[in-house]
Amino acid sequence: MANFLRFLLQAVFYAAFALTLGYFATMPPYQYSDPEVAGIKVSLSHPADRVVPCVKLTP
Amino acid sequence: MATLKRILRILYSRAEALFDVAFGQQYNPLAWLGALGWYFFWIVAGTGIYLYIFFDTGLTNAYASVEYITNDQWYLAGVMRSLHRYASDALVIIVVLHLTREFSLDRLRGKRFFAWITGVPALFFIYICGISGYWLVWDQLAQYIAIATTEWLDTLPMFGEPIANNFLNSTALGDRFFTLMVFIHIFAPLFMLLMMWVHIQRHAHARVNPPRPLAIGTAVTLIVLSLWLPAKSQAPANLDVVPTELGFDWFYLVVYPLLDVIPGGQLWLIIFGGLLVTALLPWLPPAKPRPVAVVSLDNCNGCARCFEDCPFSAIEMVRRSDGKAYELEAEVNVDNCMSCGICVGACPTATPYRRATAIVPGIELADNPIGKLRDDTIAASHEFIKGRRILVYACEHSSAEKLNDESTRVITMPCVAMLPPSVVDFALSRNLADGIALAGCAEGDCYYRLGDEWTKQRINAERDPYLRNRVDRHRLRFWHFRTSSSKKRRQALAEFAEELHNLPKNHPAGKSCDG
Repeated sequence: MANFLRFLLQAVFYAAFALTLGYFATMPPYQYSDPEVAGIKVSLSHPADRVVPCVKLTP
Repeated sequence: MATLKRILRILYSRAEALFDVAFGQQYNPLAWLGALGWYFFWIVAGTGIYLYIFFDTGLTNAYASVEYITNDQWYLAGVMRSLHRYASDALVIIVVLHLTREFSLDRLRGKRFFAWITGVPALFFIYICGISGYWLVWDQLAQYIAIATTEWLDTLPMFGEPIANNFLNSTALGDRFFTLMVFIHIFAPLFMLLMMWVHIQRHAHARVNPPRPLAIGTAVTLIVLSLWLPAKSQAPANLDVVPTELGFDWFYLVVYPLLDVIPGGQLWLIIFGGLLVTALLPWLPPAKPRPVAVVSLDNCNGCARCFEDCPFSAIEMVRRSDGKAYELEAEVNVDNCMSCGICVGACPTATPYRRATAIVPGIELADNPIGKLRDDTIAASHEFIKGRRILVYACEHSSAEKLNDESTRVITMPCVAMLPPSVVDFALSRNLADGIALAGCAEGDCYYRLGDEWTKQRINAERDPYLRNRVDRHRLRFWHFRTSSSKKRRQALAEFAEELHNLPKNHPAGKSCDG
C-alpha cells in the first residue's frame, strides 16, 4: 500500500512536470501586435561615411 | 543575501521533504539536478542529430522539411522533434533549480566558486542554443525571433549596417543569416558541452548520469508528453505580414516581450549585469577559509586511498620526495581542498589504536585531528548518565548534535566520511558505547558530494578501509538526515535505543580502555 501511494505520488509529480513543460512551451500566447493595426517599417540605409553625425529626432 | 538564501532553503527543505516521500532520499530528483541536466542535454543532442538528417538547411525548404518531420514521419522524427523541444525546456527548468538550490545550500562560496562561475556561461549558451533552434523552423515564431533578435542586436555598437535590414521584406531575405543560425545551433551546444565539462573539472567521480529510476521516469514523461502534445510549427514565415498572436515558448523567449517595454540597450545591460552579479555571488560575502588537509610524510605510504576518495580532486599522487621506499606520496592541492576530511577517513594510518606514539595519520585536518577524535570518543563515554549508551558520529550538516541527551553523545565533524571505520571498532570493542550511529546528510545528497556513499561502502566492506567483520552490525546504524528532519532524527534514535535494549549489553572485545 505504501509503495502504491509512493508510485502514485511519483506519477503526480511527473504529471505536474509534464503539464508545466507542455503548457509553457506554447502558452499563454504572446500578442505581438493588434490584428487591426498595420505595421510599416521604414529603414534608411547610409552605406557611405557620414560627414556629420545624424541628428536624433524625438521618439 | 543571507535572507534570500534562508528563504530559498526553507522552500527547498519543504520540497525535498515532499520529494523524499515520493521518491525516497536516494532518488530525490532535487539531489540529482546536475545529473538530470546532463541527461536532458544528451536527449536534446541525440534527437537533434536525428532531426538533422531530415532537416533542409536552406531557407526556402526549411519549413517544408520540418513539416515532413512533424507530419509525414510523426511516429519517429515527429516524436524526436517533440522530445528535442521538451527536453530543451526541461533543461531550463533543471538548470534554474540547480542554480537556486546550490545557492540555498551555500555550495558556491569558498573553493566551490569554480563550479559556480563556470556554470554561468553555460546559462548563456543554453539560451543561444534554444533561440537559434526556434529560428530554424522558419515559421511565424521564427520570423518574430529573427526580427526581434536582430533589432535587439542592432542596439549594440557592433554592426556597421543594421542586421535587421535582412528581414525587412521577402525580397531582402537571403540564406546568409539562416545558414549562420544553422551553424550557431550546431556549435553553441558544443561550446556548452565544453563549459559543462569544465564545470565539473574539480569534481572527482562527477555524477553525470541520474539513477536509473529517475532516468526512466523522466524519459517516459517526455515521451508521453511528446505523443500527447506534439511540437508543431506555426504558419510559415512571411516577412510581408506582421504576426499578431504567437504560441510562445516562455522557457526560452521570456525576455522578448520585455523588449516592448524596455529599450534593447537597457535590456542587454540588465541581462549581462544580472549574469555578472550571479557570477560574483560566491564572493558576496566571501567564505571564511578553513584549514586544509595536511600530509604527514612520515606516516604516508603512498597507498592513494585519499586520492581515490577525495570528491574535489584536491589530492595528487606525486613522486616520493623523502627518499623512503615508497613510489608515491600524497600532495594536497590547497586551492581545491574543501577541508571535508574524507581523505582522513580513507587513510589506513588514521587509527585510534596506536598508543605508543602520538596519533598522527598520513593525512589529516589541522583543526580536527584524529587524536582529538579519539579523545572526544573516550570523553563522551564518561558522559553517559543512564540507558543504553549511544555514540553518534555526525556530519555538521545533519544537525544531529540536537540528539545530545543523557544516553546519547554526539561528536560532530565536517563530513561523516571523515570517520575512519577503525574508530567504530575501537569504540565498541573498548566498550565505550553500546551502540554507534553515523549521521550523515540525506542519502545521495551529501554536502561534500560523496561522503555518504564512501561511508556506506566502507561499512559494507566494499571500499578500503573496511570496517572489520568483528564489529557487531546490530550495534551500528547509518542514518541520513536532512537538516530540517528533526522528527525523523528523534524517531531513529528512539528505535535504535529500543533495539539496543533487546540486545545483550556490550562486552569489550579487547581490554577496557580509560584512554
